[in-house]
Amino acid sequence: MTTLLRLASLGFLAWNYGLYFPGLVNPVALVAIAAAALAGGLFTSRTRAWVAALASVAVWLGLRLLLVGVPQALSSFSATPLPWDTWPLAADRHLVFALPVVALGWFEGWWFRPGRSSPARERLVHALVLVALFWAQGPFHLTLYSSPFLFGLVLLPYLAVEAYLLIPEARLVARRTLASVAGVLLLVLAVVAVLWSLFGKYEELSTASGGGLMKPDLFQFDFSPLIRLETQISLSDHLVLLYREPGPGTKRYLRRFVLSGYDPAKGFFVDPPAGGGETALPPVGHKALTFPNNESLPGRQLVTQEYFLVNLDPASLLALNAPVRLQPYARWNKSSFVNAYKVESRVAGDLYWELGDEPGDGLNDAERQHDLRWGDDAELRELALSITAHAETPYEKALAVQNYLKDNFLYSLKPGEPGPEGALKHFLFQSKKGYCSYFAFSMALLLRSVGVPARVSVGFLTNPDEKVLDFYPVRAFQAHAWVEVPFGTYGWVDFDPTSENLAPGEGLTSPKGMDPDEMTRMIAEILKAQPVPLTETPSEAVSAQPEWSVGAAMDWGRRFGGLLLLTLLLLAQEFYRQRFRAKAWFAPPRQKAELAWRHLRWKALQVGLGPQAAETPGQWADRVDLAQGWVQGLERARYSAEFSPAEAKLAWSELPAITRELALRGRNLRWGRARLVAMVVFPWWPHRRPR
Amino acid sequence: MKWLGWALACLLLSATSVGGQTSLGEQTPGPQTSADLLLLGQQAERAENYQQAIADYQRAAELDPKSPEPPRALALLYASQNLQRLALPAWEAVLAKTPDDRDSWIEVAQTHGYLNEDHEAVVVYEEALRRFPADLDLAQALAWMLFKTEDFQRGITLLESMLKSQATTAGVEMILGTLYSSQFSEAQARVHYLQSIALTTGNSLTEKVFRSIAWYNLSLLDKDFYHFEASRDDLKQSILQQERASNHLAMGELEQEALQEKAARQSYTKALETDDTPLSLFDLAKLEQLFGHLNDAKSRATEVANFRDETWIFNFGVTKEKFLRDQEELAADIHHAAWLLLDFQARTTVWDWFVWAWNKTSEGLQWYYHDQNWKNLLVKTGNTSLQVRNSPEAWVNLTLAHRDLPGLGLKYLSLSRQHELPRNPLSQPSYQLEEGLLAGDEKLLERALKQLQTPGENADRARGLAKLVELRRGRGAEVAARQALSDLFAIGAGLMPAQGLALPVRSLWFGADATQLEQWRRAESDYASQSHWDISGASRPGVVYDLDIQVFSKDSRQLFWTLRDATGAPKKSGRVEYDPQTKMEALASILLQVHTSD
Repeated sequence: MTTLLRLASLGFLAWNYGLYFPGLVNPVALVAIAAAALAGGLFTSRTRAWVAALASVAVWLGLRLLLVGVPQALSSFSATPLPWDTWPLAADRHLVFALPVVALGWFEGWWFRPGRSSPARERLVHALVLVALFWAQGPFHLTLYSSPFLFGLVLLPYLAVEAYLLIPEARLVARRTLASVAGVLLLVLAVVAVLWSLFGKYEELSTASGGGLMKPDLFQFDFSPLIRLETQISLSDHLVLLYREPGPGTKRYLRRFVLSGYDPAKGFFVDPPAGGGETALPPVGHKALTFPNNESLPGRQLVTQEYFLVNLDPASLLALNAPVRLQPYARWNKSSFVNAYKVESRVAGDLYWELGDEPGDGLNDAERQHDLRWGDDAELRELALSITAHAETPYEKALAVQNYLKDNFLYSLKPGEPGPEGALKHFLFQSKKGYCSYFAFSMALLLRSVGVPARVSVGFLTNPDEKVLDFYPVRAFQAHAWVEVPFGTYGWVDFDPTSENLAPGEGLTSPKGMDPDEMTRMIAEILKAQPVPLTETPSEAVSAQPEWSVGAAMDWGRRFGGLLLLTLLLLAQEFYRQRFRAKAWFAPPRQKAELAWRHLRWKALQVGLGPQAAETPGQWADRVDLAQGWVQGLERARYSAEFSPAEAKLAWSELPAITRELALRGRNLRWGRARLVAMVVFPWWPHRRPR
Repeated sequence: MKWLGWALACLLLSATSVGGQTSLGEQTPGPQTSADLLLLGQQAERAENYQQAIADYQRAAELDPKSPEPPRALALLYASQNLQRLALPAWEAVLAKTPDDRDSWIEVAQTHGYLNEDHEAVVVYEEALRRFPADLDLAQALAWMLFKTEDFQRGITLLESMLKSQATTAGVEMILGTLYSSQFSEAQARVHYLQSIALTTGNSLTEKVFRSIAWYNLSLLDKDFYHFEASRDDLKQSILQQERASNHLAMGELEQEALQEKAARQSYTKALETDDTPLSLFDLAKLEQLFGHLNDAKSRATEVANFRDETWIFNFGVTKEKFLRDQEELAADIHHAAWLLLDFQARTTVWDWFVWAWNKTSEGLQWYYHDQNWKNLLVKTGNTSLQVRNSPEAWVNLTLAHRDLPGLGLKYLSLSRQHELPRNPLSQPSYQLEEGLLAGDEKLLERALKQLQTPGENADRARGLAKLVELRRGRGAEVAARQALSDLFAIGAGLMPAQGLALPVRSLWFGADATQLEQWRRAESDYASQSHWDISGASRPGVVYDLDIQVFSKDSRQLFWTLRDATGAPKKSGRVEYDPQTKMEALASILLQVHTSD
C-alpha cells in the first residue's frame, strides 16, 4: 500500500513535469517510466550505490536499444514507408525527456527504503521538486492548468497522499478504519481551506486599505515593483484587463493608486489625508458609487469606460482622473473576468492657458501640508530651483520639471545598484536612468521642494494602436507611474515625466502582440453577455440571472470555505465524542469496558504508543506497561468484565482517572501533537520521541 | 378686456403648441426600419463607436431577418478589425440569405483561409463550384486552396478541365505554374509562368504587382532547379516591375546561399522596410544565426514569435504549422550555435568555468528542446503531406526528422531521390551531400563537394566541409581535416565559429621581450587546449595560414594581428586591446575577428 502511494506521489510529479512539454511527451508514458524506475530502485535497494546507478544506466540503455535501435533497424529493411516508422523517434524523445524522472524514481526506490532514511526526507525531496516545477511558471497565472481551481483539485489528493506517507500515526490509524482515512483527507482539506480563507481575508483587508499594494500574488498582477525603486525589474506581457471605450483610439492613463505619502526608505505609498479625500479610492463592491466632488471640475470632458478585469484584484477600481460615477456589472455565467464595471470620468483636456493663469492649488492648509511633506531636502531643492529658475506659476514649474526629466534622463528597466545616497538621488545626480517610478517619484519630490503640492499615480498607460473594436487590451508591461499636480478649481492634473529615450544596452524588444484568438474570444464573450448593471441589492441581481461560475465559487471559497470546513471538522469531532459518551452511557457494563478499552487504544495511538502489527492486546499492554501502569489495569478490567458486571462497572469508573493520568503524562501527547505540526511545517524534523 | 381675452387665448394656444411639440418630441420613435438602422450603424462605425454600430446592425437584422445587408455590414466591420473568427458566422449568415450570390461563397471561404482553416475553405469552394460550374474565378480560388492543402494534381486537373471550355487568364496561368512547380514539372511550370506574364500587358499598379509576383515565382522555380543565375535575373525583372518585400527577401536568400553575408543582410533589411509579414525578420534571424551574431538572431527570432497576426499566411505557400516548424528549427539552430560558441570563450577563473558550465547546460537543453519540437513538427507536417499524397514533401520532412536516426533518414532520403532526380537531374550533388551527411560517409561527401562548385551552392558546400572535418578528425586524419577547414575558411570564414570550427594557423609572436612572449605563448597554448583552436607556433602539415601577432605594451595594451596565406600575402588584419591578467580573452577576440566575413 505504501509503495503504491509512493508511486502515486512520484507519478503526480512526473505527470506535471510531462505537462511542460505538450505535444512532445505523453505524461502517461512518463508516469509509467517513473513506476518502472521506482521498481528498479526498490529492486536494487539492497545493493551498493554504484551498483544501483550502474543498473539504472544499463536498464535505460537497454530500453533505448529495444525501443529505438531495434525498430529502426527493422524499419530500414523495408523500402516503403511503414506506419510505425516514426515510433523510434518518439521513443527516443520520451526516454531522453524521462531522464530526470528515471533518476528521481530510481534514487527514491533505492534510498528511501525502510530503515535507511525517513519518509519525511522523501517528502522533502518531493516538495522541492514540486516547488521547482511550479517556480518556472508565469508570474500570476498557472500555465499548466487552465485555472487555479483545477490545480487545487489536482493538488488536494496529492497532498493527502503526502500527508499520509509523512505521518506514521495517520498511516497506523488509516490501516484500521476507512473513516480515519477520510479524517486525514478532511484534515488536509481543512488546512488548505484555512490557508485559502486566510489568503482571501488578507486580500480583502489589503484591498480595503489601499488595495493589495505590497502583496506579491501568484495569480494576479502585482504593482509592487512600481512603488519601490528596484535595481532591476521585468514586466511580462500577460493580459491584466480589457477596457472598452467608444471613439477614436486614445492614449489613456488608467489610475489604480494615488500615492501621497513618502518615506525615503520605502518610497511613495498610499496615505490619504485626514478625512479620506480622493486619494482613498474605494474598492469596487456591489454598489454604484458617485464622486460628487469631481462633478464640477471645469474644462473636462466626460469619458465612459467599461473595465473587464482578468488578472487583477477584483476589487481594484481603475478610472481616469477624475472618476464621477462607478457602476458595477452583474457577473455572467462562465465569465472569463474576475470583475466588470463601468466608470464615467471627467478628463482634463488641453488646459494650457487656464492652468497657466491659475495661481492657487485649491487645497486647504491641511491638504497642502500633506502633499508638501518631504519636500525639504536641500540637495533636491537646489536642483528644483535651478530647473524652475525661469518658471513663475505652479504650472510652469510643473512643466519645467517634467521636461527636464523627459529630455535629460533615459528610460531603463535596469537602473542598477544605488550608492549610499539612495536610489532616488543616485538616479537624479549619477545614473540618470530608470523606469517610470524613478521619474514620477523624482518629479513629485522636486515639485514639493519648491512648494508645489504633488503626488504619484500608479496604474497603466494604454496603447491606442492595440485597439480592436472598442476594446483595449492592457498588459503587465503597460504598468506605469506618473504625477498629479493640483490647480485650484481644475482639480488634479496629470503630468508624465518618463523619458521615451532608451538607455544604451537596454535590449528591449517589441512586446508580443496580443494573441488574436484570445482577444477574439474575450470580445465575443463580452458582446454576447451584454453586461448589465448590478442592482443596489446584490441578491436581486444574482437571482436575476444564473450566477454560478468557477471564479465566483473560488471567491466564495476563499472568503468562507476555510472557516466552514474548520467548523465542520470541530463539529464532526464533537459528534464522535458525544456519540461515544452516549453509547457508553446506555451500554451494558461489559460493553462499557470494551468501549473504555477502545478509547484507551485510540488515545495511545495518538501519542504513538498504539499496538503494533501482529501484537496481541496482552503483549501490547505488557510492552506499554513498562512505562505506564494503567494499561494493564484496564486490560484486566476488560477481561474480568466478561465474567463480572461489577468489574466492568469498576473499569468504566476508572476510565476518567486513567484519562486524567494520560493527560498528566501528557508530555507524550503534547509531543505527539507538536510532532504532527512540526512534520507538516518542517519535514526534516526528527520524529523519534524523547525517552 | 377683449385684448386681454385674446392675449390669454394666444398664450394658451402657444403653451399648447409648445407642450404639443415637447410631447411629440418625446414620443418620436427611434429609427423604425432596417435601412435607418444600417445608416445609423455606418455613422457609428465611422465615429469608431463600434459597440453602437454592432447593436444597430444586430437590431437591423432582427427587424429585417431576410435582408443580407445587416449581417454583411457586421461581417465587414469585424473583418476590418481583423476579427475573422467573429466575421465568419456573419458571412455565413449572409450566405444563408444569398446562396445564389457567388461573392458570398467566396467571402466565407476566404475567411476560413484567413483563419488558416484551409480544408474548410476547400469544402466551401467546392460547394460553390457545384452551384456555379462555369465560374473560372471560383475554380482559380479553389485551385489556390488545393495548392495550400498540397493537393496539387486535383488543382491541375480542375483548372485544365475548365480551360477546355474557357479562355485562360493570367491568374489561372500563375496558379497552374505554382502547381506544376510543386510537382517538379519544370518545363510546364515555366510555360505557365511566362504565359501569365504575357497575358498581363497593362501598366496599372495591380498589373505591375502581378507581373512582379510572376517573375518572383519564376525565380523560385529557377532556384529549385539549380539555375541560380537565371533566378537572380528573374528577381531583377521582378524588382523592375514593382519593388516588393518578397523580391528582396528572395534575393537575400540567394545571396545567403552564396554565403555573401553583407549583401544578404542588405537585401533583408530592405525587405524589412516594407514587409507586413514576419518573413524578413525571420530571414534576418536566420542569417545572424548562421554567421554567429546570436544576440541579434535571438532578438529577431523573438520579434518573429511576437508577430501575432497570422492572416498573411493565406497569401503565401506556407501553413501555420509549417511556419511554426521553421521557427523551431531556427530556435534550435540558435541555441546549438550558442552552445558551440561557448567553447571559444576564455575561462581563467573557477567562476568562469562555473558560468561556462551553466551556460553550456542551459543552451544544450534549449537546443535539444527546440530540436525535438522541430522534429515533432516535421513528422506532423510530413504526415499531413502523406495524407494528400504529396509524398515528395513528406519524404523530405521525414528525412530531416530522422537526421539522428540514419537508418530511417536514409530510407526516406532514398524515396525522395527516386522521385526528384528524374525530374530534376541537377539535384544529384545535393542528394549525395545529404546522404553523406546522414550516413557519415566521407567518400560520398568528397564526391558531392567536387560537384557543388557554383557560388549558389556555397552554403551546401560549407555544410559538407564541416561534416568532413568532423569525420576526418574522428578517424585521426588531422592533416586532411585541416585541409577541409582551410577550404571552408575560403568560402565562409564568418560561419565557422557558430559551427564550433576555427582555421588552423601557425602563430608568430613579435614586439615584446622574451618573458612576455613566453607568457603569451603559454596563454596561447592554454587557450588552444580549452577551445580546441588549432593554433601553435610550430609548423604543422596541412596548416597553410600564418597568424602574425605583434604585442604593444608600452603606451597602450594592444595586439595587432595579420593573417597571411601560404604565399605570405596578408588576407586580414585587426587589433584587440588586452588585459595582462586575462590574456586568453584577447586570443578569443582575435579568433572571432579572424573569422568574420570579408
